[in-house]
Amino acid sequence: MRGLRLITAVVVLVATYLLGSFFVGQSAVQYVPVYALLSLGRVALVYFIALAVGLGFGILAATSKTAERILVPIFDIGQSVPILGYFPIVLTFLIILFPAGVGNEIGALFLLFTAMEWDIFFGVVGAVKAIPSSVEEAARGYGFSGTNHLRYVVLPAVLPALLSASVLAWNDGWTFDAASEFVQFANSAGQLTTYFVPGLGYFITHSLNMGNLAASWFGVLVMGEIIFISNQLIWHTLQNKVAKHKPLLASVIRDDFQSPLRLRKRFRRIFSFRLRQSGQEVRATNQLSTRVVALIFVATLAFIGFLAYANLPISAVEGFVAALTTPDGQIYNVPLYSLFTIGRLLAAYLTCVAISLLCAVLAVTKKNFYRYFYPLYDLGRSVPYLAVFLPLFVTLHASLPAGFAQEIASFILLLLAMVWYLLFNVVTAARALPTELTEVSAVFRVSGWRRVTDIILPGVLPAFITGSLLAWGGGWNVVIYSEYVQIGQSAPYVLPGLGYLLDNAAYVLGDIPLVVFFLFIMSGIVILLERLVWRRLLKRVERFGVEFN
Amino acid sequence: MTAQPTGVNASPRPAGAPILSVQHIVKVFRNGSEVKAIDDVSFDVNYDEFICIIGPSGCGKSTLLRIVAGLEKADSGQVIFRGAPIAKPSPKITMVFQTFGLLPWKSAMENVELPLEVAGIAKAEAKQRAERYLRMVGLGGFENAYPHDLSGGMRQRVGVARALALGPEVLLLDEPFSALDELTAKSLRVLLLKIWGDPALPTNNFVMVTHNVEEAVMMADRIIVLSPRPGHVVGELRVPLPRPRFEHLRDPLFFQTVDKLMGMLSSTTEEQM
Repeated sequence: MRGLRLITAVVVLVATYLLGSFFVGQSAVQYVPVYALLSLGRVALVYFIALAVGLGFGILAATSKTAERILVPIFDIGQSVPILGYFPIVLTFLIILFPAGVGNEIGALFLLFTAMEWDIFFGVVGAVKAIPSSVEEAARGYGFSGTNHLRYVVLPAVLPALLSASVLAWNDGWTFDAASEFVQFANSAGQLTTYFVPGLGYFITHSLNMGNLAASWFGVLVMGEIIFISNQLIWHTLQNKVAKHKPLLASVIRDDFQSPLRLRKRFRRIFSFRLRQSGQEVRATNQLSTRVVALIFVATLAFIGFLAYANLPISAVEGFVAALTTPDGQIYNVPLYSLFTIGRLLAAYLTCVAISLLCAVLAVTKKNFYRYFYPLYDLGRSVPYLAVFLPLFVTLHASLPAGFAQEIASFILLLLAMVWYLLFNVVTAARALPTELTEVSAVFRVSGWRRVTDIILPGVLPAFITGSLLAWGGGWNVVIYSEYVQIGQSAPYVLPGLGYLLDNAAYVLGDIPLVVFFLFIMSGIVILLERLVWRRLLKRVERFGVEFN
Repeated sequence: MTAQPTGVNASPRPAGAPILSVQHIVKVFRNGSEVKAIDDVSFDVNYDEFICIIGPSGCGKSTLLRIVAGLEKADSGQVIFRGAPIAKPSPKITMVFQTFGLLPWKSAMENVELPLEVAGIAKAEAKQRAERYLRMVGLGGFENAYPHDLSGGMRQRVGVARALALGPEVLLLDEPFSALDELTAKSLRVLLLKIWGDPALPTNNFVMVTHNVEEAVMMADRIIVLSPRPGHVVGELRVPLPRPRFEHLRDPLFFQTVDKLMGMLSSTTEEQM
């Protein structure tokens, strides 16, 4: 079975390559296998680093109160600040610090690391904390300690959560691969300096710059296939293996007659849903220290910025105050542009809401729903949306005005970045609704619209809010990428928004204090929305949530 | 045996016919492999009778109850209610669930009101009726509490009020006390027996699934004993104790009945005590 899938995967990849050689051109695609292997190596390397860091610090944070007070806020801030926002600063710093080539390679690895780490860390912390106290007591009673305790209690308990987090991290890593491998800075004269590391992400952008749209799409296709295949071959296989001996959550499955496979799938989905939630809980308990660490983080960033500022090779800088007040700095636009960006996110978010609520209703009412949903979900989740964005924009721009094409491409990018969090959480929750509730609605004949408004929607509400929180986090990250597009030697295409201001400050003005300033504003909005809207809502509805076990 | 009260607004009763008749029910679960859960189960529920179905875990007793409720379809056989086969849930037959089945996002009041509103009863009347039934189960003053504010026993009282508010003729109870501690269960058993014997209420036929032997003897007129999977009827026991039963719990007859039932149950399983 597994051998067969492996052979199928190889055949698909080879066929893709041959078709690419035929339709796109042999000379354009000949190095794609090499690029693919380089990207794969980069993502895999960073995954193992993220795994080691996440496991080490995660177990430490979950078992020691002091460590928790220090580590959880650090990781929380790390995941709250949009990666793509501070990437230029980090990259600039690394390029100054290291010899040519090494700096941007480290920069690419760093970006991937920040894309992959948070899920793993919070997954581990949540899972260790979720070990039942009876198990802990039994282990202590039988004299388990140190490595024995780690090996026989902690690691097996963490494994399912670790796998769920790994799937998310692996996909996020590939998604950000496109952004990490190719970066262009402009100087005051409009000349471009390009930093790249060879890989699929580089190939996709570079092909566009060479005017080869077909080659660019081909790169996207190969990347999508690699993501899909690795999900099927590695993660699904591992998850099925682990789920076999999971006694947890048994009471959720009240139907004794389910086939083992379906049970396993259910464990998997439910478990990863809980992982997300417990991660949220862990985060919510550390508010005060979060503030302290936030301050330290901003100070560090400012310090790095200052160091870079003093040595900046790429731009004529006029000083922070001057930059703020010049038309280029566009400080006056901040309030309006922030609203534009929020509006863009809101439009994509509302579309996601409609899709996911519809799916929640279908999940409960249509028996066959899952047969179609999970394959489609797996397929959709494999789309490397950041890589899709640039070729999509160029394709749309062929028949549409630039601004319009960019808005549409941006909308699709945001949709793809946000929808999975919501869909996953909401559908999992719909699936995990106790069968008793289904029976209650049948016995008391609650059907049709009444069933949707009184049973299904309230039942998935906590998961919906958790999903919304995550979706907005993901959305902020990529909106930066979509509002500023540099292709070839032409002037950049821009959409008015906070992301544009940030990118302009980073890539054109090269004004790092200004970048930090915009980043500060953006993170402020992100954290404000999270604290004032999502966390509050979550607290309110959690009491009314269905008890899953 | 015991003189049972009739409901004030009870429907006419055809002489000699049971209100509910379970006839040759067979249920097979298919999911790759076939597992026979229930094998040719038949029994009648007479008017005003309290029936308990008892059997070891996995004998299909809960599935049987769900077939009676119209929630599951039997592979063969049928359930006749007042002369007509049951195909889907009906407001004449309601159910109390093992883990209560309350909607956590609705108050006690709203939980009871929902089925009434769905059944087309005007809001004002539904409200009034919900209040009356909540008072009846001892929850006067807790109308606006949410399930998470209530203890397990109180939650099950809401479940009982909800099931009764529709004025069904048959009340199905799926291990209604097994998620509660023994003291709470005791007081709920007394409450349910009081409701069953109340001539002012139209609900006089109870069918309860349990695996608690003493509970079955304390509550039932007649006990149907099922074998392990696939469940089939291994015997029937008429409880000879007079009512009210809680006055006879120290009676030698009570213990003899319990022993007899234990004997019938353990004859069907390998796990004997």
